[in-house]
Amino acid sequence: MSRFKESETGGEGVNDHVTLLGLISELDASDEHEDATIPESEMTEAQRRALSVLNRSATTVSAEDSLDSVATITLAEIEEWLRQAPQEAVLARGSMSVPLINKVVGNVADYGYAPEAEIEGDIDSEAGTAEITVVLYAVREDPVPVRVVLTLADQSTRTASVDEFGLAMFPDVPLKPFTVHVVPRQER
Amino acid sequence: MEDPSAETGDHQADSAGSPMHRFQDLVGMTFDDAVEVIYRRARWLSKGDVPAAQELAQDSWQHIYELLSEGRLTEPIQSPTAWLRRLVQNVMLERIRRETAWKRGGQYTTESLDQRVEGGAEPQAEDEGPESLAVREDMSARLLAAVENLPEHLRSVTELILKGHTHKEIAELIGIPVNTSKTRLRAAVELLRGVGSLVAK
Repeated sequence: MSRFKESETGGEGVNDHVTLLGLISELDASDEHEDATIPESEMTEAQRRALSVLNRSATTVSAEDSLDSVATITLAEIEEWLRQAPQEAVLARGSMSVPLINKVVGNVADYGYAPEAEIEGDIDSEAGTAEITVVLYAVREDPVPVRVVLTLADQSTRTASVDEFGLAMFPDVPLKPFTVHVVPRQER
Repeated sequence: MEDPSAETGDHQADSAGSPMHRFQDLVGMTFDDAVEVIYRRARWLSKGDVPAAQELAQDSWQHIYELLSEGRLTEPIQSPTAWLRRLVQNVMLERIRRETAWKRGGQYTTESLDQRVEGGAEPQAEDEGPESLAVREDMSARLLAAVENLPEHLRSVTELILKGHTHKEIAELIGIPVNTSKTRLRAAVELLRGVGSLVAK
């Protein structure tokens, strides 16, 4: 059988599929195994995310409001957040700032903001909490006034309006995964 | 042909009509089991990169929700495990396309993505044969032509991989050793890339 020429297999549809097949073939020969033991915390996080997608979407549809936007701050991200934080953040009494997490928050662009929000945290290691600040950047002159809603791990919610500087602040947020919703201010 | 990945599961308690209830009814797998299948494939394709795997799995659930909410998932899935794996692969494919388009400086259109990804996410019509139709839905005409030009022994493995089967399942389905299945896939990839040095008769 003759070899395929580029012209025969060309086109991004073919090449992308071949890239995927190549990845699978590469993984076949690697130490990565699909049936490897997965830490329970990872599976818990995967389940939480899946539930979040299904439940959030169901709420959105039933409310006939498809404008809600959601981003999830995961356990892995919080752990990474803590890992990247200065050692002093773990040892210090009082709060310490830790690196930003940038998150695309769904359809927030519809409200006149850049799609990527900044999530800032000032961690109080003694209390196991953080002051979370969500920063939205307006990209048009008249952005829709919005609120940020945090849904915490225990399914309780906290809301804060985004001020004229694009900030919404939440004190004493437990250091556990949470989701960030953005909704127009007149709602809820 | 019996699909070794086919399975049924007990449905979790959930309110009738909810997305989870409909998912379990149509896919025929418990939510917990589906989470594991999806996450394992996402983690594998992400080479163990946990944040990337979580994102890939979450995007896969988003596609599932869209199928449910838009009424595009109406018939029970015959091979749920393979179907879920294929869905994750197609989400991965979406990312590859996006990266490719970005590297080329071109535009990536949501429309083309949806048309392609949905093909892989739709339930397959089993009466047209387990290996053919579902894969055909995934593939562009040019890819289909390329795969059809593969020797039969390579084509069958390639199509089953694209359909979401593991080498172990393929080995059972077509009666070859697992390592032979892996070798055939590698040969098919090389041939599709235009190398062809590993093609075995």
